Amino acid sequence: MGELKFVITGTAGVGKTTAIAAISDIPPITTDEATTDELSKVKSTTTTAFDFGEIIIDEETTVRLYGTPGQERFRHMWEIVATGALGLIVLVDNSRPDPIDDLEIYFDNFSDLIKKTGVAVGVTRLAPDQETELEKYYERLAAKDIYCPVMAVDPREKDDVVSLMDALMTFLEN
Amino acid sequence: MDVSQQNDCQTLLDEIVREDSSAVFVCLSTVDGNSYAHSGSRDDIKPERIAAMTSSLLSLSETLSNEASQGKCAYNAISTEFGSIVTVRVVTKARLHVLSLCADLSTNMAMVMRLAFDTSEKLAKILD
Repeated sequence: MGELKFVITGTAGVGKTTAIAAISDIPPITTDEATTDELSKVKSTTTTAFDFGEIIIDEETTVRLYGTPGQERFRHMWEIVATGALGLIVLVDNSRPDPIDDLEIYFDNFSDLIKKTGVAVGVTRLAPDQETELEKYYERLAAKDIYCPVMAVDPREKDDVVSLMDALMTFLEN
Repeated sequence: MDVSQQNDCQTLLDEIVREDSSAVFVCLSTVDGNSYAHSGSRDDIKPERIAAMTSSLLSLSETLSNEASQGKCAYNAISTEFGSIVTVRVVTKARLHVLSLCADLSTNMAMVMRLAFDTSEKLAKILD
C-alpha cells in the first residue's frame, strides 16, 4: 500500500503532539517553541511548524501522521501539511468555553481536504459520565450535513488514538 | 510585556528601514509566532503572517539541526528572486525573540546578514 498520510489538527493544547507521541513507532519529530502569550498559563511549549510520527503497519505499509500547530496564525502550515493527506483527525477540547465553535473553525479551514477525503473527531477532556455530550457534536455536524465518527479520546492513551485512527480508516473505506 | 522595551525595539527597527534603502521589512517576533515590533516599506506585507512564518521556519531549521546533531540553529538565510531574507534568533537570556530582515537586490546577502546580526545584538541589549 505504500505510505498513507494523515493529519491531526485542533486547538492549541488539545493534545495533538501527545497523540502522535502516543501512537508513533518512531521517536516523533517536533517543532516546539516556548509559549509567550496566554497559552503559557496552560503549557510551556507549542508546535510552530508540525509534528511528525510514523506507524508501521507491515513491511509495505507505513502511516505517516502530521500534527498541525493549533493557533490560527499558523494557517500557512495547515495548508502545507494538508497537501496529499488521505484523511483528517480533528481533536476538540471539551473543557474549552465553546468546543463546538472550535470544531467548526477546523472544519471550515480544512473543508477542501474533508470534501476530498474524510474526517474523524476526537473529543478530549470528556469525563466518562459526560459521553452523552458527544450527541451535541453529532447534531452540530449533521446540521452542516457532515457525518463522521466522533469519539471520546485521551490523547495520552495509545489505545484511544489507535481506535480513533481505526474509526477514520473504516469510515474512509466505506 | 514591557511597553517601553517594545517602543525602543520599534524605534530601532524604524531607524533601519529609514536609513537603509534596501530594507523591505524588519520584523521582531516571539518564538511562538506573535509580532512584537515591525517596520517596513510595503503595506502589503503583514507582520502577523511574517511573525508566524518566521517562527515555523526557525523551529523547523532547529529540528533539522538537532536531527543532524548540530545543536541549536542560530539563523536562516533565504536567497530569493527579488532579494534575501535572514531570520536570526535574538540571543537574550530568555531566547524568546526572533528577528527577520528582508532586503531587495540592491544589496547582497553578506550585507543583509551583517545588518541582521548587528540589529539582533542591539535588540538583545534592549530586551535584556
